[in-house]
Amino acid sequence: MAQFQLPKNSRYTDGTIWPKPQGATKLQEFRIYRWNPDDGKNPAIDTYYVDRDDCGPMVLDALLWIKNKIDPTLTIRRSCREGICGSCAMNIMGQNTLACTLGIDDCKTDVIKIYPLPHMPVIKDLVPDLTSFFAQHASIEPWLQTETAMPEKEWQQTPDERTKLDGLYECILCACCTTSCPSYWWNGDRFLGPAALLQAYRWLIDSRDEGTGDRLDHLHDPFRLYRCHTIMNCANTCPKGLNPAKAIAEIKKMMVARAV
Amino acid sequence: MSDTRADTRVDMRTPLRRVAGLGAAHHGVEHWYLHRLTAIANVPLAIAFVIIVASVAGRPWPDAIRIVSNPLVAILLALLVISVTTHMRLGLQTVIEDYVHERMPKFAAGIANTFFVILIAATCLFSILKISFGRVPLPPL
Repeated sequence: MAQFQLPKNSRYTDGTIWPKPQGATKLQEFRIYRWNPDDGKNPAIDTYYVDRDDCGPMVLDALLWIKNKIDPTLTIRRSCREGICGSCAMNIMGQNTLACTLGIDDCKTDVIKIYPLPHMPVIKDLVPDLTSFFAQHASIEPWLQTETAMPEKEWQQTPDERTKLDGLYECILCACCTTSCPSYWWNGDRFLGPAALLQAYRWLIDSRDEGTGDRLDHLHDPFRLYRCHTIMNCANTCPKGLNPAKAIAEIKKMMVARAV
Repeated sequence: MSDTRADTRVDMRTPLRRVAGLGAAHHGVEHWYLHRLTAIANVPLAIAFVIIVASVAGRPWPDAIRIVSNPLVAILLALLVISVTTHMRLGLQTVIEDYVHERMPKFAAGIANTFFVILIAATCLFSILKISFGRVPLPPL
């Protein structure tokens, strides 16, 4: 059966309450999921207080402030701090999003709770294991496939054909959508998930690509594609405002178009 | 279930190999299409069913038999049974695929689902035919 409860050694406990920074007037409380693979303990929720006057406006700023000033063992992924690399995806206040593009003030809460992306194996603290996620992306062969001889210059497309890629090419593979999808939670080993399917559609709809039939064949499977039940968590949570559910619906329409 | 990490003591396949699994089944569109088709068919058929039930309700037995054995009514009821049971089997199969992962329970549930639906369909269709064609003695109007 699908697993609805965390295994015993994954259930979290109360963690350390770290001291408030001295002399701070404006404090923001954070409760952050901590798990260390080396100490053999269950995960714990640590409490931190951030001095807002000494810290940048975004949740990522606060995490780095905590790492620099309170607890250097707090482990996170981050790189660009402007929503283009997809590294700092995590579950903040119950919603998968990028810590770098979410303002602390926008959380509108006294206590900001932060967990790693849901239902993924955790490597440490807020760092999930995305090996399978990236393998699923690789499995849809996200590159231009052609048989026609290479043109002298570039492969051409009309402005209208190019427009069809809008809302698809912007995906940064942060995994917010895929890890918010209940179908992916229960069948993540066989269902490709919204991010990989959005990219699959990005290549299916590309006017220059000649591998459409093979791409559809690869997706034509009760699990790879049809585990999507249009739950729409993917579209609700995407920090880039994309709509993977719509892309998946378009793939389903293509499947029907070639069958009926 | 979606803990997709490899235990390298027993499994050294690459991530891409694990994701590829046994390859694409190359079916699924028929299931998806028929599920939607029966959903559309269920709307008018279910409305017809409600009207038929309402017109039978409270009538004496011979009247009820006469209404149900009307060819139009009997055909609508038979189509409803076929459409609803088909839709039911496809839907329940999806639920089983979503939540039941162990091989034996999954196949057992799939078989039970199919048998149950066929039993329902056969019973309902037989009843409709029996009423339509059966020699039920009818008093004069």
